[in-house]
Amino acid sequence: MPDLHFSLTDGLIFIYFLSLVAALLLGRRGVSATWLFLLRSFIPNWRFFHALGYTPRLFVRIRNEQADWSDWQIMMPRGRRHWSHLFFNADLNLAMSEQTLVEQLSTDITDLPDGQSIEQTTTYPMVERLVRTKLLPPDRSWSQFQFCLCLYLTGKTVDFNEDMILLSPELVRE
Amino acid sequence: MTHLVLILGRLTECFLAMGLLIQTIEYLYLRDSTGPKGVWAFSLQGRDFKSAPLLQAFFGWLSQDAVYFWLLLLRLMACIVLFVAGGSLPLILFLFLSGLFIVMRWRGAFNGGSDFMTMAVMTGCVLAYVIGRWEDMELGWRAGMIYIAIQSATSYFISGGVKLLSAEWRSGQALPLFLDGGVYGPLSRFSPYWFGAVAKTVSWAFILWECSIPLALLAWPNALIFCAVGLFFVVWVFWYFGLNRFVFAWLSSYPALCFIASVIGG
Repeated sequence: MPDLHFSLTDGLIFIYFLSLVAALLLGRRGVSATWLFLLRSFIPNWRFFHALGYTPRLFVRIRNEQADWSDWQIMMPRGRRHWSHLFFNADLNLAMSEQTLVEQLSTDITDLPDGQSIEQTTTYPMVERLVRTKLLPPDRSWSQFQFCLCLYLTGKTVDFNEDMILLSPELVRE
Repeated sequence: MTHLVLILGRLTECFLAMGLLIQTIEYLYLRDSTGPKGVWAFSLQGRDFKSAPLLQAFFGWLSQDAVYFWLLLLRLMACIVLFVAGGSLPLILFLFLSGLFIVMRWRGAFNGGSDFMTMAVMTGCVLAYVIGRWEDMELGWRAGMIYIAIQSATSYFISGGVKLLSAEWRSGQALPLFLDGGVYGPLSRFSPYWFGAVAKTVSWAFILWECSIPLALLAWPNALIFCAVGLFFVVWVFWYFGLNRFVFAWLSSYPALCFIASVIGG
């Protein structure tokens, strides 16, 4: 007969991983309250790259002096890899953080309470500043700009009519 | 066992210090983003604190350019002291509280998972030094190691479990699409990850390895093998997704996994 002796520690570890399986199967509610959101480092969500799904992407367009709008340009954090980035990768980490901000704007739109506009959230003016300071061309060939947020399936091409969840007003340069 | 837990505790501090040092240098470099004209300017981000005016005022003061600069500089020195001379209760508390301020300043996290694991390891260190202050450091590190190991094991198990439950991961479809949309994307059309068999094999290797964490805790040789594969995994993630902080954050949790495995399995 094999030795099937289990200690209390083995039992506790088994119960712990069993509860994790239950949590996985039952799903997890997102953190919505502001303070819980700010302190989410203490209640981590370890679901990295868990499933293909709808990804929010930010698009920007500009209007030139002839009043023609350009095509929508996507904001996509991209970089060139180098081994030295193991020890310093600030620009790329910031770009990923900016994309996280865009994803938060999408969550805010979904969770927006009745009677509140998206402009009243913390995220919206931050995204507007992101567009103003980083995504617009530095030259003087344009006078107005606009941004939009589209939510579409990973790996698919965006359809602006179907996928747009936010369209900013036409904004002027400062 | 006494020596082992203290040695592994010191190793945790060294890996943690390396990770914190890199993070702090990056925050110093990125001060424009948190400055008055940046995307994370406190005039905008401070709305998050509107329900607590006193805390809002305190965070507003800490967020001033000069104060924030000196805070990061002090943190830089604290990281060097932690690496060279080891921790103490005031040093660890300073690193923990300043880390908490920084993640809240970046709206809960700057880099997601790496911030979560860094905070988990720091919380384990705070536990170790608080208990060590009133009892002894061996008991403190035991408690700290248990906390860190629970967080680390949970991270692997959940991360592997959600992939196992996803049909796209099981079929190998998800991996090339994540790589294609990642920061180093798009993938070359000649990339081996576009081949179904390669993507499926790599995906299943991740799933099985991450879900095998309970087995790693049964004996210290298992934990050593798990951590060796883990090192390869975190470097792979850095190479394909640019997540350099991820490497040091998870590395600093490995001594705790080895300690727990040595306690459970001998």
